[in-house]
Amino acid sequence: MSKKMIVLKSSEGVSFVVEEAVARQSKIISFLVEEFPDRELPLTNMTSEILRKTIEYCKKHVVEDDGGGDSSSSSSGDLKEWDVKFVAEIDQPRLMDLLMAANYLDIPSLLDVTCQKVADTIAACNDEKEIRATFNIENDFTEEEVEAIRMENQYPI
Amino acid sequence: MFTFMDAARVKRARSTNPPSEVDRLSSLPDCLILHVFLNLPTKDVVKTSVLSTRWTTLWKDVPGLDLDTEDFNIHETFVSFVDNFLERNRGLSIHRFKLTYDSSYAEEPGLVNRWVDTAARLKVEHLDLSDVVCDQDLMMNPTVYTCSSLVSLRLVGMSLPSPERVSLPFLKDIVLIVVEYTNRWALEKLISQCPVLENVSIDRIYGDGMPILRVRSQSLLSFLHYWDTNDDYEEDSIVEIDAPMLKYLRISDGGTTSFIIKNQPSLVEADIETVFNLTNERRLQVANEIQKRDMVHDFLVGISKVKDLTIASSTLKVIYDYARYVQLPVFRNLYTLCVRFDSYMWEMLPVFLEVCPNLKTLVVGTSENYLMVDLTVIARPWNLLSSLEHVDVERPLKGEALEMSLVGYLLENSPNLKKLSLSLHDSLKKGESIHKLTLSLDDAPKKEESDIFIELLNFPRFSRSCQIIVR
Repeated sequence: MSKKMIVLKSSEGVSFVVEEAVARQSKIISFLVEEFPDRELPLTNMTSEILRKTIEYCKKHVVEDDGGGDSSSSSSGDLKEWDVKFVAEIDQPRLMDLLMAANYLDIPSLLDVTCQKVADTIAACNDEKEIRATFNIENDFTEEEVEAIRMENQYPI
Repeated sequence: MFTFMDAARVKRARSTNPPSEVDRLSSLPDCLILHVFLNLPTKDVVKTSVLSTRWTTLWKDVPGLDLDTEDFNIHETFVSFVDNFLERNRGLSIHRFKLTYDSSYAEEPGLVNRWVDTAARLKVEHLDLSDVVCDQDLMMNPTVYTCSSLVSLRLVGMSLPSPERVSLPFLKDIVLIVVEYTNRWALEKLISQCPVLENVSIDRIYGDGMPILRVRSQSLLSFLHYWDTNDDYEEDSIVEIDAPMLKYLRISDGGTTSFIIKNQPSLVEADIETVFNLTNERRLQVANEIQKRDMVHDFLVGISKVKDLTIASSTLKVIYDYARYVQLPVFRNLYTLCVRFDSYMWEMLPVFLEVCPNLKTLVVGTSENYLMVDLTVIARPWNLLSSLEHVDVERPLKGEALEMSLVGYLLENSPNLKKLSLSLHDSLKKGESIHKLTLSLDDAPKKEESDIFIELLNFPRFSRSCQIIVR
């Protein structure tokens, strides 16, 4: 039995042909496929690069339901390892793009993985200065303001 | 407004981190920043409040708490921080409520249970409570059994009350670490009454009030049972698993006498380390007991559909002993087997390999646990390992007689072996062997790297196309 394919189009107009089961991990695409079958789906705010990454993730995570019913392509431990590697290889701007894409397309597991990676990066910083440097956050506080906020938070840091 | 000063600052920031040029994190919508926050301990979330004006109050909106009392010098500050969190979320729902607290502060004994009540009212999804004292003195609030919003529950170091009524329609994960059960059926009742439960992991203590644990669930996918070794523990303890959907089973157990597996599940992965509480002494007495024999046999039948099995050599030794009295079931689906050896006694392995007709990959691993070593081997010719294609000897070879004979056995009896990979122990590496010689206390001649290579090359290989790879 041949698998049903759908076409996704990036902001640059590049078409990606994807198995429907793979693309359906996105709740938005799943909805669109039902509303507009046999139509090319334009994803105008996703670059080809990010769309390719998103598809790569979805391909890995698709649960193949061919007869056996339970034959996921990988064991859960392997998948977690793969996820960690997947986000580790992405630089920060692309990680943010991917996080936004996961949110836009409504792919909860990809959103979790990307948010977790950002969280881990924050947690790895020793103090706020390091967080600012890591994410290029502009400090618009004076030292006094920082102290005042610390006092108000009632948290011992 | 973007001033010259700001530009200078941005430039400085750039130089420390060239790949990312703009502040993408601050420009994320609030809901996504809060999603990131849910993956962070509260102390890191609070840290962000001083990043910039964008971040000052964002941390207060995160619907989750992950707090460790040890981060607070003053206990009252910890208490009021938790109270403030719950107060801020009044009328809303919270995602996570995770606390590590110290029950030795007994000013308000009902404090934690008051928090649990409030969290339950706020429809908490993930509840995670640890008592650093770990003395099981704290009795958990029975509200946890009816907190219907719960998706995951993790409790450490406390006591679980008897469940009168269970209503946990969404609960998927249960993790219980060094928990005591006031009623011996408490956990059985909890597990059996969660309709969508998928994962249960328990790490037990001796005398936890649960001589028999029945794990009965139609939805359970993974079950992990940890129990430390305790040679003095002689009470009978039974674990019965009746979970037909089970895919992943891990048993690392030094206390349970009987594991009973009903409704043979189609396991994908299993990791088994237990000697069914048989110490050497006890083993001699009961080896002939029909009941025990049947239990070991039925247990093996119970896991025999597994595809990927990791097993401790101590468990294999028990299986070997019993294989003399009972017919082992055939592990027809088993493709990958990893044996964690605590020593290099391997002669019980071939008996098990004979019931794995489709085994493709064998991993010779190591174990730090040391449950027992006694083994009487009856010499007999080995069967061929006709399906085996890959062998990976994870434990670095030292050139001991037993380990070399294991490698020899695998090479000589596997007609379809494609690859055997191994590595050498550091003590054999060039330059260190002389050092090793001078330190050696016995008179046995120490082998060198080259001796081992020669020995490896001289083993007859049944498979002509077999490669030996030294990592």
